[in-house]
Amino acid sequence: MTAPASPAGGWFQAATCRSLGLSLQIRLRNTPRVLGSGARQIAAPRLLVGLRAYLRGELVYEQPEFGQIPATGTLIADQGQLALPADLEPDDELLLVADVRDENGESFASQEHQLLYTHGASGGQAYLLYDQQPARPSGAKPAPIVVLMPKIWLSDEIGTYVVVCNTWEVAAPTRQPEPVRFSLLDEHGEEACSWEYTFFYNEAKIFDLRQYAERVVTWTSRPRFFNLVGRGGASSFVLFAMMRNLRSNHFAIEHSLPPIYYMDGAIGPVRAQGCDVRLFERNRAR
Amino acid sequence: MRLLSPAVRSAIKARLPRGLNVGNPIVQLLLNDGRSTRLGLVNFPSFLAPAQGVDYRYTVSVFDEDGRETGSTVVDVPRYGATEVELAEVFAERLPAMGMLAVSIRPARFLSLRDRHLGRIRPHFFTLFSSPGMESVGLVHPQTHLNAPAAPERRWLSNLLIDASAVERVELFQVNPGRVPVDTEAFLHGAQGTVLARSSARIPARGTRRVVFELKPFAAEHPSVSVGLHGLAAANGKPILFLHFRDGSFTCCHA
Repeated sequence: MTAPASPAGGWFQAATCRSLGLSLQIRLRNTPRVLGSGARQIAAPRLLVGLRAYLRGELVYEQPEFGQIPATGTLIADQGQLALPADLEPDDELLLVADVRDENGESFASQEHQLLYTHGASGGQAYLLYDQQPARPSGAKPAPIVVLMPKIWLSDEIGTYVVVCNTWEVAAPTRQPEPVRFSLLDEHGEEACSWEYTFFYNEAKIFDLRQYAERVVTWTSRPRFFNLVGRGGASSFVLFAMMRNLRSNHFAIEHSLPPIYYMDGAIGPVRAQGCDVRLFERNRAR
Repeated sequence: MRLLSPAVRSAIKARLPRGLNVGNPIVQLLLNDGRSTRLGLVNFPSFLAPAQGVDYRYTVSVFDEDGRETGSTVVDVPRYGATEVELAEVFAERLPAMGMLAVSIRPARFLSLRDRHLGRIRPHFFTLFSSPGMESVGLVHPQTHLNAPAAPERRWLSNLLIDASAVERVELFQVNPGRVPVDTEAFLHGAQGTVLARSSARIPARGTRRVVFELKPFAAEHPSVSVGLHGLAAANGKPILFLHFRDGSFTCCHA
């Protein structure tokens, strides 16, 4: 299958997190607000929603007319109710992408939607609100990311996973031209471990940070704090930290904050410098 | 400065020494009532401008639920560094059971010009709330900053739909980062907009408020509920929610 031409509007993407024993429900809302002040705007009479699912860049589910969201209402996309592939490997992750647009097919609004993850065995739930992203026009050039996640805690009972999703309009499963380089840094900024991964466009992937770090760190009952840095890639990304008590199987989830939360200068130099690992390493050594 | 156009103001700010171009302190709920609060602070400018990275210094101040400042501490974060602040360890008996914390940032060298192209920087951070043995955890980012203007007339409805069949109790926390008290009402409502429960109060300046909504009385008729506020202590002063499950565990999230 090939990916459809994406309409203008918003993209809202999430990983199923099935490899963590979770199931996903996306609750799409039609309650737009003014960016900045957060004040409510008048909602469109209805928003139109298409839904896609991908496995490592391959389109495995598509419903261009999945449903409508009435003004101030909700449309639920429940992973368990979708005709998704059943013959998956334990580590396979699916990416769900909702295309949200108004009846003119053009409008993008500042709109948050909800993720609800439920752990099958414990019944524990994790809730998250985050904003849809603008759907990129066909032919747009994807940009690299710079991501900081100073929210990684690991111990003998606590695991943290970084959940990486990206979507872009491509005709067939294709790897991005640049990998994302991840570094897990300790409190002194020293690298505990690093790795890189070249994502497919339209892929969700989960990295178990405890597994990466345990080659060099001995766990104790006291959680140890790390900062995860990611640079590179070329797509429209969203990243979450998923924290888990490995014994109780209770979860917490939070999205990452893009650079505009931290600064209001031009983003161009930040992308250029922040993505240059050599620059970072050379200056760290001084 | 206010008479200048935004573009001119922005151009001037981009040339200021770093010490003169930092944003307001960012605020967040703190809990020390059996649940603990940890912060993750990072020298973010040095990652966004690695060739011009400099050392930074955070100040973490804590306020009790009545808005009294009970302590503050300075945390040095060298370039490319990050650090955890476990509030109970740092503040010991000065840490209230519940309150607000405010985090500010400044460069170790006030007049540094090295990363000024970043413009105004804002000290965002992440907060981990946990039960004593970390059986339950919650990870959230802050919503607003110190001295943010209040929105006393605003009616705000959360987009978060809470499953009343799974969640037994919603614990809602509001902080008032402003300099004056704010009157506010928190309410629980059903999917059709019916208000199921409400609670009004005045939150003192720098104060914190806790409201508990039991969901059991409404679960049969309202499988999903949400929360709202009438009167916000800050324009984006949305509450933090702790969702308590039947097995005694909780998670938390911003609403």
